[in-house]
Amino acid sequence: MTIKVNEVCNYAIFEQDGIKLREAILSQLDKKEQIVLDFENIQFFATMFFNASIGWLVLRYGPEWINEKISKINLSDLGETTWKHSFDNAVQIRQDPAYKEAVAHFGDEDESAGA
Amino acid sequence: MPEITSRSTTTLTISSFGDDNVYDFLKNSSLMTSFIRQCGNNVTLRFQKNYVSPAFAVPVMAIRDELREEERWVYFNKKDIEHNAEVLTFFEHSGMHDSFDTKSKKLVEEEIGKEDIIPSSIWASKAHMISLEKIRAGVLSEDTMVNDSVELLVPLYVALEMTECYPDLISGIMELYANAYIHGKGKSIYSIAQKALDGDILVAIYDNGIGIPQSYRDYQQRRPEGQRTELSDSEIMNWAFLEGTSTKQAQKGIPCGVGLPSIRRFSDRYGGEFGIASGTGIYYYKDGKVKSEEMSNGMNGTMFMLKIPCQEKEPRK
Repeated sequence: MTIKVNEVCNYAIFEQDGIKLREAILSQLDKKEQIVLDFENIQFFATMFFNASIGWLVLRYGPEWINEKISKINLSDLGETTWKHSFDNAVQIRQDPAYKEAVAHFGDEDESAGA
Repeated sequence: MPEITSRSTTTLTISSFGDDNVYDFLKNSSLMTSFIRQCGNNVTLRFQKNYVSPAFAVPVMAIRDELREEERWVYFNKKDIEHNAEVLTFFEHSGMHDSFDTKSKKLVEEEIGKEDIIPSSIWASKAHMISLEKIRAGVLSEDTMVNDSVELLVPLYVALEMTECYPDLISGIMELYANAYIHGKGKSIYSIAQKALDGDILVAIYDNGIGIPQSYRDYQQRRPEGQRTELSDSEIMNWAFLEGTSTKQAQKGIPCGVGLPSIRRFSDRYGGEFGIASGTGIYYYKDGKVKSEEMSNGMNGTMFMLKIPCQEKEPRK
């Protein structure tokens, strides 16, 4: 199943667009096939976008799940670098014991993000 | 209608602002904006030194807009414009000449296009402002920030054939805009991009938000009392550039804390340097080395300046 990112948003920059991509990914999970993210024609990237999409999924399901379930094509070097920074940061947060405690103190956190 | 009262005018002479030394520029910006805010009067800026960096337009535009709400005005002395070609260039490049009286504006407009007036070694975009208030209100879309930053850099891109680093530069600027938009809570972002006299590319960005130190202190207040940490403004600036730190570590399941460190990586990639001033803290970075200190005059909001050597068009591996 391929998701064309340029049909979700014009730029891989903003949090709201990252949420849209995340929702597009989640909507395909029941199909049990690998999800391919096609970044053709996406030129600009910021960590905010990947935090809201891939980062959220890492916190929710773990990095191994991402690596098994999601692949990417037509992603520029800049996009790869930005993806990696957000991914690695999310993995680190997920492994941090202080994270679960921190989540417990913020009333607006999603409870499932601590899983 | 508010009652209009006359104010006296205080003159501030700018003698060393033209240098594009990032660290000194940020300190001078803080000093100047602090002085203008506190003096309570209208202000006339006079230029002693011949060269005025177009990046100077960023803090001046920001404070000019802020002072308008108090019915205070920032003036420039017409003689400085008439007799000083570099100052004239500054006004032309900054896009600020609309701020001034009819005679000054006419003078600038008459001179624009005369190539012997505009030094070929300076090239700058117009300083421009993005209204974060309008984006938050849905009047403008978030894509406006990208479109405006693309527009900001297109002149440099065309003039300098920055093909290799152009997407990186836009993305790097967007990390800063994103920080200002999400964390800064400011009304606007002011930006300018230029090619300086010595050939380097400069980008200056200012947002009139609450500033990084105040954002950190608000975050600490949300924490349980026994877990709060008190830091000075310069210590907070150092903290902000650590990987994984954020005043919103994971809000609604979204991890944070990579934006500012990514700017450091961007700077390394192109052999650049940058500085950021917020509150009384200043953080300067070049070639893996950090210099941070407390300033005597605080910077309202956050001012950022990036310098990239123009000759290094290939990114470092």
